[in-house]
Amino acid sequence: MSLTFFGRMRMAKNLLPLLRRATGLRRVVSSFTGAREGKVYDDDWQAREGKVPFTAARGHGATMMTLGLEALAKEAPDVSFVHAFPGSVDTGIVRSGDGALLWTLALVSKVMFTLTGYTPIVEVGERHTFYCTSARFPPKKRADEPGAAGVQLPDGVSVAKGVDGSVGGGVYSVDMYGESADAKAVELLANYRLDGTADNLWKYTESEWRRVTRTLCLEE
Amino acid sequence: MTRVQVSLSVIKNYQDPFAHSPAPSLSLYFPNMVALDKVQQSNTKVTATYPAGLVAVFAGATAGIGETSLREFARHAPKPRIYIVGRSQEACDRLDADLKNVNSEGEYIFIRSDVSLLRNVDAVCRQIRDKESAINVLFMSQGTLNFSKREQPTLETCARRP
Repeated sequence: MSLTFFGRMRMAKNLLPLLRRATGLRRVVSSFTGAREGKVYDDDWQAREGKVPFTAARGHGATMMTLGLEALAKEAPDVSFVHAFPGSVDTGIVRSGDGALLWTLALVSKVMFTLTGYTPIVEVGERHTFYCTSARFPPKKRADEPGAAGVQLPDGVSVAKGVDGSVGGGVYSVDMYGESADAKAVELLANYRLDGTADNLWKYTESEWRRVTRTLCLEE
Repeated sequence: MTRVQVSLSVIKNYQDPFAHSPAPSLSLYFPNMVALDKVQQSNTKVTATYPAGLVAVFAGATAGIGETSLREFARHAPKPRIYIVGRSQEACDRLDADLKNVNSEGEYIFIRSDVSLLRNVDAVCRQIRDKESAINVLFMSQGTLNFSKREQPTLETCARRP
């Protein structure tokens, strides 16, 4: 799961200059575990030293993804960032070669989802397209170009609350229905900003990038 | 086959009879959620809102969530140019044919790569940068849960892999 984080952040960091040069729509959408932020274990970011309990793994990963997107947004306030949660989807995420534990979990999930129902796959695609294009998720620094605002909000839909608690904050973490993360998550993230955890995560990310590739990102 | 192997194959081959049940409508209980009809309404206006030629990068779109998002984005975007980064050649070929049906005016460029390796992330981004000076959308759904005991990838082993 942590490979997901480092890889996606690197990709976004590399492509950030291109996003900033776009006219109109400038958006990064990361479909992962939006609105599921939980406690992070900053002595075991990669969750490889057994310090992250299994039940806390998703919250830990979700917070990392959101904080990472926030770090990118600091460099590029004219781009908006959406951390999305796709919902219960039957996608074959468990593929051949994965271990027995994962297959057992997959079976348990299938039994649960049989009762609650899956989100139809087309709906997932439509919601993610909405995250890519709607005016519900504007960047912090709005430009005046055509299309920059995004597709006009339908009746009854408002600009989303960002992860910093402000409407239209530029970085959004949304659940499977496009609803912003709740006050508990916002508070959790605020504390991590205040106590330096957010900065530490980004420093750690950069140090890992340097350690493995010798570079911070693609040179411009 | 051992008992474990038999059990695993039973689990793997389980066909869920309710795989396509729609989720219950929860908008009654969660009034703040964005109702699907609003989402769809918004999507139909994408062509009118944006100039033709939106450039997008979709990573992880050769399966599942990424694939459906790519399909719907391609459907609604006006003459998009979309870079699709994925591992499987077979999936890329299938998607190519599919997307031409979904939106024949779009341009779909496939980049085959395993972007769980940082080195490959850089190579892919370099390729995109060589072709485009700007992109509008970066959509990322790459990365799966891999708890296989056989191989615990770390950032280093990823870097060392050929």
